[in-house]
Amino acid sequence: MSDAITDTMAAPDSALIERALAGDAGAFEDLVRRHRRRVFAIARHFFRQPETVEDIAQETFTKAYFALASYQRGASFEHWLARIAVNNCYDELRRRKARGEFTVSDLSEEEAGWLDSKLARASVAVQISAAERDTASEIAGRILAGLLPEDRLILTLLHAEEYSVSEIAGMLDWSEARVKIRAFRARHAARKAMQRLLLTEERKQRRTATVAA
Amino acid sequence: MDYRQFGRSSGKRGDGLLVALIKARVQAADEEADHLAASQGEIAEQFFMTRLRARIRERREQLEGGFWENTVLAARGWLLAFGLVASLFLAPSVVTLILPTSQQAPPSLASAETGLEVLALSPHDASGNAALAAGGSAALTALESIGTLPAKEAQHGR
Repeated sequence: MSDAITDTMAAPDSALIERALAGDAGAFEDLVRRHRRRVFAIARHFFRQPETVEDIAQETFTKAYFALASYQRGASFEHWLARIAVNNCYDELRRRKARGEFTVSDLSEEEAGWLDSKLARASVAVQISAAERDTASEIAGRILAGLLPEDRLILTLLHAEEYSVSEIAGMLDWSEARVKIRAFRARHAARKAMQRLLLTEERKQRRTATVAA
Repeated sequence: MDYRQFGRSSGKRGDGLLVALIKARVQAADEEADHLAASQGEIAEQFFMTRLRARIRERREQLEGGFWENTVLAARGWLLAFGLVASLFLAPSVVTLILPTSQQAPPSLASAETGLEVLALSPHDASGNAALAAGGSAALTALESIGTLPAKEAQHGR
């Protein structure tokens, strides 16, 4: 029994795909187990709620199951799955934007101070320590929440997933020029969002000072 | 610091910070997930697989149901036309079965009450012969007055 499991886990993706196409449900489940972490990671980089992450992962595997016959032999199965996952995330971002679910809340005084100090000292490459990670993560979440789904998608794919422009173009069926233009606009929009957050905080501080005076 | 200038003048610096923020967010999310996976482990995977199986089954049922629905919807026009033609063909047979025989044969009514002579006469003198067959003197007088029957024949008739 354990030998059989070892054999299955050692089998290449292509062999498991062939078996799954022949109707072997176990082979597809092995594929899911093998690539589950990657699909979850992609969903998690877009959304923080565990239910949403799991829902996207399930939807990705369900779509993969029904589209398995259209998978091109010889191509990377993980890349094919990642493509489905990214498109699912993009759909969810658009749905949420349409429902007005992304709300941009203000920075706290502490977060604004932290961002301000980083900006003042920032060179091109910025290092964030483990202790600062939670604050940085919160601020990133707020900046991304204020962006268009396309901008959010591009920034996450470029900087979180670290895909190249050509890989992103292939995933989304966009031209490379479109990806570059969108990335440029997304960075500009993100800078604006960061600026807006800091300005709001600055105004808040001024108002408090005036009231105190 | 003039924040309003930040968006325009410090693009590179802002980009560097932006990339660092996004990476920090990703690292935080991955760390959180690793902690969760370590605490739940196999059980979480089992639950995930169970839910996935149920979802695939449900989707398959939807697709199969959807196939028949789509087929019927696509052939709706044809089905309607076929039904219409079939009902047109069947209508006479249904009428024959439902209606009583007395309403179907008007000639039998004529032969029973008024006499067969009326039906046996040729069309050119049907009006006169109809009156003769009826045998009424009033009818003969009427025919004489309009001149369709010669006087001799009229006397013979009397």
